[in-house]
Amino acid sequence: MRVEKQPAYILHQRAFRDTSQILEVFTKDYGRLSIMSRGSRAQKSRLRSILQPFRALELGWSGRGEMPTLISAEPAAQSVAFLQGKSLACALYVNELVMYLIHKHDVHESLFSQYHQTVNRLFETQKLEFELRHFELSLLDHLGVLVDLSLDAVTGKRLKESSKYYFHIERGLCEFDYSFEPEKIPVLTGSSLLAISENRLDQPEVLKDAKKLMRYLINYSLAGKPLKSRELFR
Amino acid sequence: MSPLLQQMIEAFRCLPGVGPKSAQRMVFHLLERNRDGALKLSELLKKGVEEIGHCRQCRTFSEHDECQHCSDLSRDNSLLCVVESPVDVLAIDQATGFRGKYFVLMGHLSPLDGIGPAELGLDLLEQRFITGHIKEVILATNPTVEGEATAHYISEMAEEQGIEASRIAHGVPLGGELEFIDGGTLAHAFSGRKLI
Repeated sequence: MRVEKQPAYILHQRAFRDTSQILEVFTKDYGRLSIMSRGSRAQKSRLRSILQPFRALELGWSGRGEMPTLISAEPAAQSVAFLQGKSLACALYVNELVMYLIHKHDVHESLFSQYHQTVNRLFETQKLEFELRHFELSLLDHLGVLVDLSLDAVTGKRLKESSKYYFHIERGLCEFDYSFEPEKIPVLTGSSLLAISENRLDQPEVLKDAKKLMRYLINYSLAGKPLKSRELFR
Repeated sequence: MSPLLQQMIEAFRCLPGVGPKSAQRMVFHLLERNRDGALKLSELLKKGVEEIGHCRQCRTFSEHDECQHCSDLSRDNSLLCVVESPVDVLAIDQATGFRGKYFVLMGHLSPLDGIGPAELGLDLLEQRFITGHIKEVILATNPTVEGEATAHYISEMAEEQGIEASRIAHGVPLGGELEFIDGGTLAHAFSGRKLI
């Protein structure tokens, strides 16, 4: 199989032998995959500066089996100076999510465009949390973990703004009655949940509730695997 | 081929850039022409690997408790240069005439490789920040995504202790021509331009 000019991002690279590396990439039409890149770590390789994470690339590869070989790599857009500071830590977090939660070879075209958007916005914005929550929502939606956040799972009706709800992994949103205390399960207001379901994340309290919910669902999806990038935030 | 010879060739392949052919050449060279050299090499290899550890202060390689740099009293204690590996110490020392002290991270932060602040032993660096009377920390990690993330994390640690942090500049190589420089480097050099 030969693929050319495929929009892609590098999520991670590992050294292989003396001058080669194994690239973990996220692509538009082929999902996540590993590609062997021969000679790209050599002192004089032109590819060294191109094969960087968070840079929009067009990659070509060929070969059957688990690990095809890279045959071409070009920057897809005018190159941007790379991410720095907190934005970079956020971007590394996004990469960790994609690496751990997206299965190899599952195609997620719209998630790829969301990834592209998120990475580029992280460059420009101060509202890092806002961008991260958007990406997480989209990711969880693709994973099928997210239910309709505007509906009460028990009654099937629209949530009441003033009521409180908790997220039951199998059932969905259930109204929170005060007779028991859920352990480590976030309890959120109907108004927050409705705002999240409509992608209105501007209000600080909605953003905070979204973070609680996302964290809970992501931890559930990771099934105990720790995210190292969280430690980068002091 | 005799088994011992085979084993020797196999052993040489642990060196970087040495494949089966070069390993064979090295072994035959030593046996045919330079047996003394081979003995010396084997003795020093054993001695070095057994005795060389990490400096207690900066963690670079040293057979003593403290390395030459750290025990050198003429060096400025208030300047601390943070690098990723012991080779970087040599590179900076030879190129810049830097007269401060070093701290060698022995790696960089890389979440996907499972390396966070704890794995990198940044608590040791933090202790140094607290007790070391440091005025400026110079972040000379590599210009990669991981190096940049590491520099940022350490700069925040420094800020908490009221220590000034600076990052080495990235830009076009001396004697280079703009035309042949890759876009990323050029963009970085352009956005980091200086007033003259």
